[in-house]
Amino acid sequence: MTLLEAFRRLSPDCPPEDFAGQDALAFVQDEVNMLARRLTFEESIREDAATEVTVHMLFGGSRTTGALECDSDKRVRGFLRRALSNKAIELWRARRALAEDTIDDADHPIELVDIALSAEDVLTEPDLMREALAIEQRFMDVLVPACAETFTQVRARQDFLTVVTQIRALAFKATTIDEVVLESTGRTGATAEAAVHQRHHRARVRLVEFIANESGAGRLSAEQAEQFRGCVSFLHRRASSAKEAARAAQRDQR
Amino acid sequence: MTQTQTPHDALALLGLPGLALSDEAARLQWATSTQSQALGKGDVAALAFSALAATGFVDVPFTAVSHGALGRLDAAISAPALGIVRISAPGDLDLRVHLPAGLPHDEVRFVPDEDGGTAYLDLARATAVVVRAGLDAVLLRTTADGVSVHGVTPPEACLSPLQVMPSVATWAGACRDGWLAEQVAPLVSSDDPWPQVVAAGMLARLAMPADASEARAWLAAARAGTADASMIEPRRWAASLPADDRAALSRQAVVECAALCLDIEDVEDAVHASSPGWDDEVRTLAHRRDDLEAVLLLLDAAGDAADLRQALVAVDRAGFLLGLAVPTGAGLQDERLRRAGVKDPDAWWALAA
Repeated sequence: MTLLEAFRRLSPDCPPEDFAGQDALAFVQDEVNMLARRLTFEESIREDAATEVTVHMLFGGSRTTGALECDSDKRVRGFLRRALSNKAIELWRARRALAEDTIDDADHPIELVDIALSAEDVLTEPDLMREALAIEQRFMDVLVPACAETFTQVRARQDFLTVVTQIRALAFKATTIDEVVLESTGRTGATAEAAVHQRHHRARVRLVEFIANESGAGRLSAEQAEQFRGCVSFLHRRASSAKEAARAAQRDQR
Repeated sequence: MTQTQTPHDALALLGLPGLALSDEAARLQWATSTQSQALGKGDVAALAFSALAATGFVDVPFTAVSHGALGRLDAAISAPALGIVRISAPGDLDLRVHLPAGLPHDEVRFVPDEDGGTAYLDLARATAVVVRAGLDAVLLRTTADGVSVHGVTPPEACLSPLQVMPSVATWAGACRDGWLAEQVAPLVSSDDPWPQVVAAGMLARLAMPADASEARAWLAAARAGTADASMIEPRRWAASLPADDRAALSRQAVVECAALCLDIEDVEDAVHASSPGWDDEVRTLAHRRDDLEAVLLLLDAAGDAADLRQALVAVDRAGFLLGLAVPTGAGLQDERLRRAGVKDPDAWWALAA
């Protein structure tokens, strides 16, 4: 039985005499346990995360849209790994009562590892980060220029590249939203910031559309498309901050 | 120009197979040289759409066309070499354009800054589009000699009672997850079959152990074949549905996909940190997407999920883009969406939770 077959067969409605069904549950649980052992959280968190994720998959998780899209062992493993990582971080935060921002201050933002969570043969978080940085580099070196080439107007192409560079600098905390707004519009304030957010959003939409097009045309594999969409999500999650926008609005009111 | 064979093919290309076509249809002919000259304009070379957009289409001859199928929309059509159509909404209504996936929107659709109610569409590349303004909605489809126009009807909830309705009240009564029982309670008493089916799917999918020790007990129960009935029975019910009921449920889910997809596109531009009420709008849309996920589980158990999965592709494409517009860190603090994300780490509608 492959992991994909076992995952497909998971069902909470499986009597003890259904050996194939019971085997499928055991197979998936073993895989989740193995993936959990690779996480660098303390043992109790790894064990609890593995148990809870197995239950989530058994009771509905393996029949979600994302799960049903998995068409290989590799993609199932990536799906399970993302579920596990999310759960482990949730447990870790709950137990350490840590605020979200406190894990953002490393050399590279921790969310970046999400991009690489489907990668094979990655054992530790430093490995994941290395893989994630490599994927993000390919995104910037290959995908973004290719997407820019789809603009027929030279100026639109340059604007797009400028915006992506800004979003990336925000994502890596190399600049602030205030600096970007001033540089882009020559003004500050909530209205200017809203305009910049809209421009950034349009660039992200363009990237997502381009990835879908390349994937549909077979020039990107499903896994590559997933990784590059993850890069766009990463740029969004780090670059577009409601807190920053709220602060700008408060400044305007003052 | 590539063409779709039928209006239904065009809706499938657009990812909106759930839209209903009205009876009224029209065929618009591309403008001729004589018509262009009558407008005082000569033929325009087949320049790139973006190049024409950069000039605001000022030198492009358009011939106004009218037909009942257009409803209150105004349309004007260019020469066949250009393949461009101009559509205007009545009054102050915004014009919404739904394009096929994979096309760079900026290069096949041009909306003048000064007039959000008008759009120029490159039908040479976007061979099918749905254009909406208020209650008027049309499908434009490129044909061999022009453009065919069909009115499209906004889909409505219309699921008839199934032959075998789910016993949701009984299952919910046995549900030991207090939060979930509370969530499905208002759905159980609905006269509409759709919320009842959604409630059944929620019971099967969103129940969660409180912690790891309870999770271990659930695993042990599943191995012993004694898992909680409230989570098992909805699947059994779905698996035993007659073919007619399965088909009706699948049809309704596909219709809801089309409605949700268009509703998501309607709010995408309005979602921003400084836009009041964006969070409630996003929450409502996210819950509707999660409703479909509940129905997906049931249709999967019934072995009839293919059409819904196909229809969800366009919804999730639009939803992913909506997710990119949601201000990060805003946090809807929504338990249902949190649970959706735990079940599926890739669910866009859970990212705002």
